[in-house]
Amino acid sequence: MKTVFIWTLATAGWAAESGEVEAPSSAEDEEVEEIVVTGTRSARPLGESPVATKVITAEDLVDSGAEDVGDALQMVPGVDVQQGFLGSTVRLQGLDPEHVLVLVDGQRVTGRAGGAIDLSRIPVDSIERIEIVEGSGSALYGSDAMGGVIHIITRDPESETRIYARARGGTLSTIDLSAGVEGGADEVQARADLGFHTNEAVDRDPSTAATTGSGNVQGQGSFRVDVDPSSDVTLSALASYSRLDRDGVDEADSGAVFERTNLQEELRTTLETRWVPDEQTVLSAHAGWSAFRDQYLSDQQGSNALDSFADTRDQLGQLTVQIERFYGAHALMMGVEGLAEWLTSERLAEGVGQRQRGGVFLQDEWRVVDGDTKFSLLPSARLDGDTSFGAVPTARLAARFAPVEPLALRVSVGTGYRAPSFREQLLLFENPGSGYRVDGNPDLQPEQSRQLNGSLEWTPGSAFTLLGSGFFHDVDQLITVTTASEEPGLTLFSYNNVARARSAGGEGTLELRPVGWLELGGSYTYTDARDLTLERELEGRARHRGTASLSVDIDPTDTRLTGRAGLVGRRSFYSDPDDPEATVVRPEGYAMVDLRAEQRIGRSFGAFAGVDNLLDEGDALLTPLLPRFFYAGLRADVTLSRSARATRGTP
Amino acid sequence: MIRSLFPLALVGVGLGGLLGCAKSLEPDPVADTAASVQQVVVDGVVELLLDATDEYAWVPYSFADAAVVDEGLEHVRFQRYRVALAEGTSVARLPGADLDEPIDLDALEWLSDAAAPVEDEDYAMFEWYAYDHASHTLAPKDERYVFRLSEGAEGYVVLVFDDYYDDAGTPARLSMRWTSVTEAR
Repeated sequence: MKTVFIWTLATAGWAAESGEVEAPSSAEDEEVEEIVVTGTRSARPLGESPVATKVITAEDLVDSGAEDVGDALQMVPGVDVQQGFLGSTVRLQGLDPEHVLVLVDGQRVTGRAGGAIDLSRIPVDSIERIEIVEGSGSALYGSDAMGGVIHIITRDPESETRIYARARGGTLSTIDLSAGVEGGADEVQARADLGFHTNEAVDRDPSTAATTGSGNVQGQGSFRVDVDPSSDVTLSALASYSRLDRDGVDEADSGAVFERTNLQEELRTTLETRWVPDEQTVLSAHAGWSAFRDQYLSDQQGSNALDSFADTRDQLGQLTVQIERFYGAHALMMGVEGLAEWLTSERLAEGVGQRQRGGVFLQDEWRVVDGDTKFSLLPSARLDGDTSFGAVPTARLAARFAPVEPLALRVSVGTGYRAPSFREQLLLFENPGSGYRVDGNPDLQPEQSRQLNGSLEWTPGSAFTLLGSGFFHDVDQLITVTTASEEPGLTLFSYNNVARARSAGGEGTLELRPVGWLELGGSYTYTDARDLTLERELEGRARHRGTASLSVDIDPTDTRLTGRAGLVGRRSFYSDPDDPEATVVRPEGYAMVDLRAEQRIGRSFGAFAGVDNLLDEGDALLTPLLPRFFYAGLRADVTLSRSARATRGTP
Repeated sequence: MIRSLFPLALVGVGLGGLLGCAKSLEPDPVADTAASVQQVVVDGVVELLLDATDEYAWVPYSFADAAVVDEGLEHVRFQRYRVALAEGTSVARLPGADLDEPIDLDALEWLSDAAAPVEDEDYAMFEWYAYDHASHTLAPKDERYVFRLSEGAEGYVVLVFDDYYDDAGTPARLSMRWTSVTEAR
């Protein structure tokens, strides 16, 4: 675990200089505290980070039975996952998916469809943990992080030689296969993963020709090499490729039926290095390039008048260099980031768009009081300059106050922004079958937000955690679709910075471990998200949501039973997106219940079975959930050789 | 160490071979296979399907020839949802989309297009449809239209619209029926 390694060196230096904290003294100590990196762009123990962070561990992923990141996030308190025919997207604190920045190992995920990253195309197999930071992260990450950041962190390869594989079959003709191998020596470790998934399309309303959920055939592979040329330098290189074939049937209001085929490919490469020249300094650099190609064919049945094909290619280059330096009670961090993005598509007015953005960010983590009572401040600021809309400054002030050991109060106030997407700026797209055309607006400005987040965490021991939090977002210059002109059969839409929205709410989470073999959890989230322009609730948000979970370990048989429930209250949907007098539909709330049992067989093997969406909730129109789904599978994890280095383990 | 990394390197090379191997979904260019005009006559009623999907080109139609004709020879022109009247043609709009309903020609109020129509309201056939703003779909109104051709010199026809969409759901492929109106009607 190089993250732990680097943190150990750096924090030890910080502690030694300030004389205020004790550095971990052994490998065991390192494993006690879970390390997070997203809230501060630097490795910190989860409990000490001034920015509240939710973490899904590798163990959580196994317990959930999740196959992809969209699945994995579904039962996380406060995280609002939407399923649709184009996959899974996520809202945070009432803000839309385009206001959520998704990172994989620090690199932006490209290929947004309708403004949202489809999280179902990211498999969980090689993930070490997922960090979720709610509230604006623009002061460190720039655009898109208004609602928060979802950071997917893949597992470091270990030097022990290890082979792992998993196979799962289920209803809906579902097959999941994944396998990987890792190993190496003290200085070089490598890992290779392959995965395959297929499921048939879902039709929740046989009275129409349209399918509800798409059929999918997905394959992916990744290869990563880590090199430690010396004790204070690490190098890491990763290449991954994924391909997703998706098909379904759409039906327009005119009665036109289309066979839809969607082929998405993503290639991602990253090169990362960290250098700890002395105990007070951490230097890191990250270079990444990702390419996303989306071929979309819509084939009208009985005619070819409305056939359409789009080949969209999105490329993103990212270079980040940052330095963290510890001075007494201060941890200063500064960095620069450059982004270059290219998009080619027939649906752009000029066929191709490109833009570049550069940013510089600064942060000071100041441990003002660091005794039995702890108080730390975290001011941070970032200035971005973009070739299409100019400069955007953002800032955040976060604080953590722990008056006594088990109690921690966190507060953050800051600003955020989202750059207009290429599609919003440059799109030229006509859909005569549905009677509309969309024209981009090159004069769009970034959306701006102000936010306040606060949380109170009480963890008197490992058996009990109570968390309460609140949030407030005020967003203006929101880019929204507006009707440019309306003629019968062809409404012309465009984009404008005209809308305002506000999202406020709170969350309570309780986790209990009364005995070693039993874990209980529950949460409630209240979200009041309003469109201030149209003076109505924002579409699709449930005011009331909750989660419940139960895990039981049966030691004699080495069996683990898991139950999870996600409760979603009524949501508002409108017949017209920009008409304040539009008809409102408020479907009943629903409960997603998942059950799972896993039987370990020796040290290296396991068998599992489960059911998702036990109550078979969902419908074809407003709640397009996958229907009740049964599955069973086997896993294997065999370590062939061990090295001294491999004892560090994975937290 | 090199031996232990060799299998991993092989996997890496294999992974590299995957890049860019996906097929292209782009279909071969195919002309629109749907007929631009379909017309049959059943018991004196002309059942007409007319392709008016072009955003800019008008489709000229002559009731006298019961055919799409060259520009300038038409009685009416169609372009998507718009219907324009040629010079000398006027129209009367009557409730009820029933061709067999009796018509009193002397009682009709005749409408013509504006001299140089620009706005949709300038056309006498403005809003022969009902427009659903939520679904962006058109449906013919429950009306029939009596056309006076060449100021009556070429007679009269009565027409009803059946659909704005063809069976495949393509918009602006207009289905209509028309027949001649005699004095006896």
